[in-house]
Amino acid sequence: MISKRIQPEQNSKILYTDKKSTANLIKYIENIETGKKTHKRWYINLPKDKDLAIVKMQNTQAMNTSTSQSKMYHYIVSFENSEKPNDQVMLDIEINLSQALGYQEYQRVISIHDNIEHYHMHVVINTIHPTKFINNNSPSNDYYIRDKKMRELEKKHSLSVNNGIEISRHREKQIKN
Amino acid sequence: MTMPQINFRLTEEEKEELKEKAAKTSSSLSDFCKKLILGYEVVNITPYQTIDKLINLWSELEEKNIDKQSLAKLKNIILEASNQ
Repeated sequence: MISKRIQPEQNSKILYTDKKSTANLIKYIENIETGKKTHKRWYINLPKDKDLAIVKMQNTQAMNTSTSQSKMYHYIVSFENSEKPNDQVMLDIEINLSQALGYQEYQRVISIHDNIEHYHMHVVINTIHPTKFINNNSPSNDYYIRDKKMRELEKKHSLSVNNGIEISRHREKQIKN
Repeated sequence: MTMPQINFRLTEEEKEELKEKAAKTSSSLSDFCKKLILGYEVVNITPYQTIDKLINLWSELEEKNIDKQSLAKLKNIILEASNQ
């Protein structure tokens, strides 16, 4: 499996900074506007209702008025052509990746899509902490952390192993710290 | 300083209905949450905190399998409050 962070500027429709963009992004990953079918969705640390989940995320974000940076972290995990892990495995992958990035306590929306060749999962994280209201928008070495964790998860769930990236000793030390 | 207040715009009938539901289903809820669901004036907290507490209340009631109509009503109150 591979993962990729979607930066706001890569998605011209969504800027990730204001109240409206939070709702737009959630609707976007749930394919509500495009009408494509979402296979499965989860709301973590949020109410189970989509509208209320959006309001809760917006409220948490509104508590931080000092940051001008994006308040969302959006990434995609994509699988090999033939692979379609079950829902439990998908959820375990998300929980482990978000935990590795330091987002365990944060509000998250997960949406699984099977509308294209590769089965994939969108994860949108509200980067404003739900009680401390600080913005954790840029976890350091996030690309390397995700990559390292994915290699572990591929073994754990007997998935095809992707080559990934070669982590230098220096970088590995940084990740451990 | 006067803190912002939220008008939930409940009719008397709706208040009575929610009051009955709250009495039946929310024995473990705090008095504060009961006041919220009954549409009392909320002071000394921000609208964001109020809405947040209402959402927590919705989740709590949802776990208790309160009937869907009441949940939908509470949801509408929250959405209306959040748009103010």
